[in-house]
Amino acid sequence: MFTIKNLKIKGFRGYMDEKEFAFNKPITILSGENHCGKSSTLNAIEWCLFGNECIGKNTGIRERIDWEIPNRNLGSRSDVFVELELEDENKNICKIKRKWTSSRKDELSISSGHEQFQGNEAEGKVARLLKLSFQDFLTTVYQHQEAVRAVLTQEPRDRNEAIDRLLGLSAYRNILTGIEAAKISSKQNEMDNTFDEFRNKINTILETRNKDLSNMKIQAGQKGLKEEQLNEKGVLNIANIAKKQLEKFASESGLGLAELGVPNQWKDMFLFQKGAEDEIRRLRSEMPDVKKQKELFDSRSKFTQLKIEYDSKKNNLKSAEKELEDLSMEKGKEDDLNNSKSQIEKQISEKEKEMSEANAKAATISKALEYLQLEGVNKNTCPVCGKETADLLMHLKKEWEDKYEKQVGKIQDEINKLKSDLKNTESLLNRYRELKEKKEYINKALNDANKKISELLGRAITERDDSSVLIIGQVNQIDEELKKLEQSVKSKQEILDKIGVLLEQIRIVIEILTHEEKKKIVEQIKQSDEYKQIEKIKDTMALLTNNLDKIKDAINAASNEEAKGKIVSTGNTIDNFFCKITNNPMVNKVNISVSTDTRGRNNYEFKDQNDKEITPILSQGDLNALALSIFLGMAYLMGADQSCGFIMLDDPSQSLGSGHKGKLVEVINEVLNNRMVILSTMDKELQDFIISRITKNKTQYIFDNWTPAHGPEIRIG
Amino acid sequence: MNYKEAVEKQISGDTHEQKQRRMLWEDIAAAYNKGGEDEVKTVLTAHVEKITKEFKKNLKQLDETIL
Repeated sequence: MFTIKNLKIKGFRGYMDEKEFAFNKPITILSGENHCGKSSTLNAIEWCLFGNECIGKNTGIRERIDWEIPNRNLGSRSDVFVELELEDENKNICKIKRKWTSSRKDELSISSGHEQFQGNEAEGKVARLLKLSFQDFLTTVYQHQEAVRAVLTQEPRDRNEAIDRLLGLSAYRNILTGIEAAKISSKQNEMDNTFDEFRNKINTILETRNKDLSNMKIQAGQKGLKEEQLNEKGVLNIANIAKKQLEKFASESGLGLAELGVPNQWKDMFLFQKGAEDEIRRLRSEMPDVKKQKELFDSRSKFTQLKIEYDSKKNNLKSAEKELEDLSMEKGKEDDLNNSKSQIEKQISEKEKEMSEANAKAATISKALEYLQLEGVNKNTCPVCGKETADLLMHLKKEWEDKYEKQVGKIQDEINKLKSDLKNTESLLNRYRELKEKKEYINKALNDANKKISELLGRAITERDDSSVLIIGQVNQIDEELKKLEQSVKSKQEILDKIGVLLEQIRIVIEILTHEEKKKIVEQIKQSDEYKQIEKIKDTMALLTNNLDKIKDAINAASNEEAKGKIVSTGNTIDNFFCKITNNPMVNKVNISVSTDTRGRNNYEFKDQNDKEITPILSQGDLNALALSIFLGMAYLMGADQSCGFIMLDDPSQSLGSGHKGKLVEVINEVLNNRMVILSTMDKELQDFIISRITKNKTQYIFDNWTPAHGPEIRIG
Repeated sequence: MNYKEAVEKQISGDTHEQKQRRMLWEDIAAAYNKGGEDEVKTVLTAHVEKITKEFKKNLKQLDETIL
């Protein structure tokens, strides 16, 4: 068994500067207000011994998740270490130093006598020295506030978990939680359901296939197939018949036939069936009668089209001729119109001459009037002959107005009328010319059509022939030929149709055989490698689930056995400590029993002398005392057999009244017979009780004036 | 005796099944040691995923065969 002799801390959590503690008395009290570094001191011892094991979720202590080792105010400095000096019963000194290097790494060194170890070797050495796991350390060496607080919880399930933790059984519970979180059973159920769905699917497919097959067989019967033909032999026979019939038909029609090999197996029959169908299509189109039929149809179509064109042109010609005749009847013949035009032109010429003469005299008078109207001119003297005439100007004006103006106007009107007549005559002549041109054009087109007809008929067409009737005669002749061909083609098509029915029968049998094969695959699926493999996988999964269930049972059983063992060996001491601390008149005796709950987890019952459950009547202080009693009982008895000669109590007086505190100190005094105690508290009353009632020597470290730059100030009280 | 040995004791035996169970427990305990309950979940989930993947692969093949 070893005890702590000395402790050095630097840069660890609440610490900045290096501090040193000597533990040379049976009890060391770390006192001071909150946040002064007391708990950091206990944590430092724990971290030095267990390193990262005391950090994180696995510790079972919630505040340890995301725990930071170096003091945040260190900045870039990384000089963080804790050094412990341990002494065994033979006074041998062993120094353990843990230095922080990064959030995931630290360096451990241990020196004992002349021996020095580093790293993993040092970790191994410390583990052999401690001879207890971190969880055991939490149960029997370091009483943590959170473990105590959890016992105060009234929910039985949570309290059981807290007591498990107090007894060092967290690992069992944590592993069970991890196993259950993997939800293996639900995944197995999922797999079973998926496979059941698949099996149902197989059954549905089989039902559908049977139904389809039944329908196909009905269809086969309707197509003239018998039950005995619905197999490989049957389909091969049909194929041979179809092939022979096709060959005969091709030969009789004088046509060639593609190579059509009847296969040996029905699975290859599809190619034959497709090939034969293609050949039937080809023979249908290439039969001589069909070709002739096509030619006649084409010829008929050409004659019909030509007749339409010819008739249309002939009608147009008739219409143009009638128009020309109507014009002659109404307006005269072309020669008459030409004569009329010449006469009008002559009359216009004469009138224009008359107009010209009248205009010459009128121009002279007009000039004379202009002259006489000038200023300073004698208005009575003729400007031409110089003859004097009274009122010559007035006379000339009157003559102009009465004679020439009327004469010129009349001639002009006559010219205008003649010109209008000329225009009308010319217009009629133009119309004549247009109609004549049109008639000639249509006539030419009609001649062209006649030429075409002549070419198609293969004979000359004279003016005496009626092309339209000739065409009708030719079309009638074609129709007669077509009628004769139709019967011949029909009988040949019927032969091909019959062969087509055979091919359809082949298709149906192939389809039936394919369906039967697919049905067989589904029926035999259970014999497939994949199906067998799936069954094996399902067995593996079932085995895994079963093994996990058994392991869970084993974990519960091991946890239960360990809990019972611990309770049996410490029960009386726990009872003794609890009754001493609480002095509850209702509870003279605490009997602790361990059973299992419905999930197989440990279930703790605390009963009094009358075998009645005590937790419902316990105050918070009593429950706290119960938790402390469990820890101190474990530490007192079980710890005696262990290597650690000290225990650490962190603020143990929470929720305890004065009476409880005094009695707790008396229990601690008793524990001091077996173990050294390091106690951290801010409770002055508890400190006073310790000073006044602990009969062993003590050291008191007083923590105060904590600053970010230096950490706590520590003095000996 | 630590928790690992205590559970091992509960599942002792020489049958093939018991040996398999102990191997599974070894894996679980190693996972817990490495990363706590989360790692236990991760290891078991990965184990099951492997089985499930194989199951789905074979089922897909069967599915393709029957259609």
